[in-house]
Amino acid sequence: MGPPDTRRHRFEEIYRTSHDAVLAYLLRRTENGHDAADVLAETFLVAWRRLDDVPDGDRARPWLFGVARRALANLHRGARRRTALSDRLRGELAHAHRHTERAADRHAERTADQAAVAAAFRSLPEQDREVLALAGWEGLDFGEIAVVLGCSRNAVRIRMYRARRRFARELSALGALGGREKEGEHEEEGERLKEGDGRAAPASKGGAA
Amino acid sequence: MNIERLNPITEEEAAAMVSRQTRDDLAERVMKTTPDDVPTSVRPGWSGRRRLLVGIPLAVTVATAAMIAVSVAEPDQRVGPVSVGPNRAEAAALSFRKEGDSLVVTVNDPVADPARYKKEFAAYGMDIDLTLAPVSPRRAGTLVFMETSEGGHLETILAEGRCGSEVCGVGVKVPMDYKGHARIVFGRAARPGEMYDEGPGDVPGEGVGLPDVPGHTVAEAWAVLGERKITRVLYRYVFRGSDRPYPDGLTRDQVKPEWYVHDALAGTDDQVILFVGPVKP
Repeated sequence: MGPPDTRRHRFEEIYRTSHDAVLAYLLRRTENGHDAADVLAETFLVAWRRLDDVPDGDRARPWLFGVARRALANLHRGARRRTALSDRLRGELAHAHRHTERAADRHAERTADQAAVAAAFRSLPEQDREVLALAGWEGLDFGEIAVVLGCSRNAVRIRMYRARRRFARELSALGALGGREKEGEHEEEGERLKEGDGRAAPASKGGAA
Repeated sequence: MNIERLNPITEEEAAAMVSRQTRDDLAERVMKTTPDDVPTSVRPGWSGRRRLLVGIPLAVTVATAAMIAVSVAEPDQRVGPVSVGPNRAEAAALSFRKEGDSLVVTVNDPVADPARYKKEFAAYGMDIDLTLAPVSPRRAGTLVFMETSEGGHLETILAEGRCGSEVCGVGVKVPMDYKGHARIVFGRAARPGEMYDEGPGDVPGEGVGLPDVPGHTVAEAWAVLGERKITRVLYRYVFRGSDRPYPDGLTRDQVKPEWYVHDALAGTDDQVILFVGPVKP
């Protein structure tokens, strides 16, 4: 552990560069602003306490997502840590979910295809949704997703491949996309994904919606 | 197939929700904790990991309340009240009584200094931090927060709606052999001018005593806030989802009593923020 000033500077840098990303990560995965505020505070508290474990540079962010993810899992199990740390933030985020709903309306435009995509996505198991979202929403590559999930890069490839296949199957079952998404295309795409590690590739390439 | 379009919120939108001050405030508060400090309650001598039990669903607390109501009615041996500390004339803030293998501790004085509770628990060899936080009337006498050592299990005694400044009855049932630490927060009725602590299950506006406020008129909100002696109110303008042409808020003189309240929340420094506009939400 370095001297206090070095610790502070390092933490401030991590906080400055990652605060918004972690907040967005949490708002996307919580039902209300209180939960997001509590977990945000907890995440950065862990970062402060375990500063020496936080990876340098761009790797800090997926590490923080991983901490946030575990704190969220605790929250969903009914174990909440509420501290005075997040009181002020709770006030500001009290109605955040309403804003996110509005934002979702705006983005989704509520076309039939989009509604089907949303329904298919919701019907996926949580672990499928998580890998797809980490790529599509947080824009992480496989290596970064591996840091978040605490698994190997190869395991992420496999999970992503399976998630994409299940997603495609759900979409076909819902009759979305006018049959343009054929199972075969996804086999092919899955193979490509096994090779390529492009940032956000899995979510941004399908393109038929 | 593009799940990016399902993204509920962009990073920029999230960033815009938190003010610079709040952002800095959290960083400062985090850095004020010492590296070995688990938030708010872990001290040296703490054994094992802790189990956190907060945000217990309402259904569970209601069930507990029903169970306790039965057990409290049974004949039991009264051990307390005790008075600890130099001022023996001061009434005990807690009362203790034995019930089987447990001690049932109930709160006599819901507005006592938490240090008094701590001392009185300590007199029975218990390491328990108990506080009562101001909440909306609906949540008075309910559990707001509980945190126990690993393996610890404490039953709470609820007194829903009865935790005003005169009556209470909330408490906790502690097994005689319980050696762990616990931190418990119950809700009590707020004093005039006091903001409510918000907790799980609160509805919009509840934190400032205006539950179900969306759609009520400004005049109605003023009446409720007046009754609670809350005078510091900030007004934000809402019209068709925008704050134009008043992005910096309104003065009280600009607000019309017949307007509608869209939202209400507690700001810093005991201020209430009302989101108001001429159109019903």
